[in-house]
Order: sequence, then structure tokens, then C-alpha cells
Amino acid sequence: MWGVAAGAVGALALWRLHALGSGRNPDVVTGGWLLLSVLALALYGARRRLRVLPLGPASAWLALHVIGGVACVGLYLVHAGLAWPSGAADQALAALFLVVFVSGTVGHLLQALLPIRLTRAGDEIIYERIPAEIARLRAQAESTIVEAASACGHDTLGTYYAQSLAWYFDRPRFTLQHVLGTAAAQAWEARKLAAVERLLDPRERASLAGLAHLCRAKRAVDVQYALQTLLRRWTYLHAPAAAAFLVMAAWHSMAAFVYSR
Amino acid sequence: MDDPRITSRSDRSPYERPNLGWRCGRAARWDRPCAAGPGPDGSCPHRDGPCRPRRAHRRRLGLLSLGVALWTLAMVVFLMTDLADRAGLPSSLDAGPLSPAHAIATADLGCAACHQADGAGLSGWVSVAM
Repeated sequence: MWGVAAGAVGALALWRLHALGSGRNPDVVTGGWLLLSVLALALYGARRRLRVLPLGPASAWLALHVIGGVACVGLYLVHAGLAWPSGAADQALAALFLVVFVSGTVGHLLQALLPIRLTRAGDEIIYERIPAEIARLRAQAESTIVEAASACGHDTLGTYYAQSLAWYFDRPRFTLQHVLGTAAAQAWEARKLAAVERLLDPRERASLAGLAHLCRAKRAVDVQYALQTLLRRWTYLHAPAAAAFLVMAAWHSMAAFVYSR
Repeated sequence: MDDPRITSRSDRSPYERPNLGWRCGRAARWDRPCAAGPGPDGSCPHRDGPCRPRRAHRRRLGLLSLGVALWTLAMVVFLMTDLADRAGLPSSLDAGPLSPAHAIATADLGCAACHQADGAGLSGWVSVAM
């Protein structure tokens, strides 16, 4: 498929040179092919919403979307060249094309790389179930604290939990650090648990060990949340920019057609 | 398969479908979501202490893309008007400066010297296109 796409773009580039040599204006044809290709790429978004129809595997659509996206860069260069346009409308169109291409490339790389990190992080959780999993870990942590307080007769661990660790179990934390792959969350946990350990009696220390285990489980959930969120959020730039580009491209095509008369 | 996170049996685990338009408001606050979940219109089925369901990722992305597309269309149309021109905003038809030779030839009439469609309005565009 890559060869077919490269051949098609190369043939159009050769045809453009021939047309220029014979005194014809090739821009309507090259622009038309570019617009058609971009519309075809937009069908991928529609395919994702029409899961019930037998339209072939999503992986094949994604491969076509990626190959078509790279081919569109070639078509764009054949149509507009490397020079940055001087008109405001054309500049907006070129900037949107750049944003769509760069965000799509970054997103494709993320989709290739992040699943490896998710697998290494272990204990993969369906994204929509992460809130329930955090609630479960929070309930277990609170139950551990209550049991420790009733067994020991004082609430040193409970007070400390309310002051510092409750924040950690409230929602996903250290999202950026997990995306960057730093050990900030692990260091924070170790610091917080070590700070209270020397204040506890042996029975409370057993509860603290249970709490440390829950902290590790919470960290694994946070890693899943951070990476899976990134896998979704890049589309918040790519899809709206693509939608704006389609509108601008349609407008540009209409204006070019009318003004060519 | 006792772990609720990995079971796929619908009678033993919550069936979270990413293609649903809404998600439980309690889950959005990092709490345990209701078993029933929000209705297809985004309403909470609970009468006592109802939550405020949130739009799911795909629904939000669709609305954002549609909003950006409509905003772009509105800007393109607005930047063609005299109001935008008087405000000194660039036109959505601005194709950049002409070469010096063309600039001299079109000094009096502007773009209309070569293009019938210039300044003809929507009806003029349609007649030129036809």
C-alpha cells in the first residue's frame, strides 16, 4: 500500500510538471485530489462511529488512514510547494494542515509505544472501570485504618491518613509524572509511609504494611489512568483541527474554483 | 476469574461500554458508579440523590469537533463581510499580495480586474460557477 500511495503521488507530481510545461494550470486538479484524499481520511472517524456495519476490520481502516495521511503530505507539497503561503486564508489552511499532520503523527507514535508501557505496568484495567477501582482501593484503605484504630485503641494512623494519604486515594495522582515515567509517586509514597512508621506501635505497623500494599496497587491504577488518558486525549487536538481543516479546505476549493473563472 | 476487573461475564461485572454517550456522575467524581448507569438521554435513574452524568469521551470529542467546524465556518463567512473589513481583519479570500507587475495592472479595479466573482456576492458566485 505504501508503494501504491508513493506511486500515485509521484505520478501526480510528474503530471503537474507536464501540465506546467504545456501552459495549463494544474492546481485545480492537484487540489481536487488533495481534497478528495482528505475527505477519504475523514471517513475513518465516521467508521469508528458505525461499528455495527460490516465495513471491514478497524485495523485495516487505521492502516489506510495512516498511509493516506502520509500521502496527503506528498499531495500537499505537489499542490502548494514548500513555501509558506502569503495570504491570511492560505496561511490558516497551511497551519491547520500542519497541526493535523503533526498531531496525527504524535498520536500514531503514542498508539505504538504506550501499549508496551501499559503491558509492562501490568494489571491492565478497562479505562471506564478506573473510577470504580480507585473507589475500591479507597474503601479498603479506610477499612484498614478503622480496623487498626479499633485494635490499638488510638488513631495515630487514622489521623495521619486523613492528613496526607487520603489525598492520594481520592483520585488519580501524579498523572504527568507517570506519563513522563518518573518515580515521583513511588518516592512520595515511601516518604509518607516512612514518616509515620516510627510513631506507630507494632500492631499499627502491620496495618501500615497493608496500607503500603494498597499504595502500590493505587500507583498501578494511576499509571494505567495516565497512559490511557494520553492515548485518548491527543485526539482532542487532532479531530477538531481536522474538522476545521476540512471546512477551510472546502472553502478554499470553492473560492479557487469561482476565482479561476 | 473472581477479580471483578478481569471478568467478562455480564452477570458478574459492570458492563462499561465506551461507545455509550454518558457515564455515571459518581464515576466522574472517582466514586463507584451506579450499577444501572445513566440513561441514553443522559439522565440519572435514581430519584434519591441523583448524580449529574457526564458526557463520555467519544461524545465530547464529537461535540468539540462539530463546534470547531461550525466556528470555523462562521469565521470564514464573517471575514468576508464589510464589518470585518472595516475592523481591519484579514479577509477569508485574502490570497496574499500580487507580484509587482500584476499589482500595477490591477491598481484601479483590484481583484475584479481579472476575476468576475470578486465583490459579486453569493449570487454572483453561483452565476460565475455555473
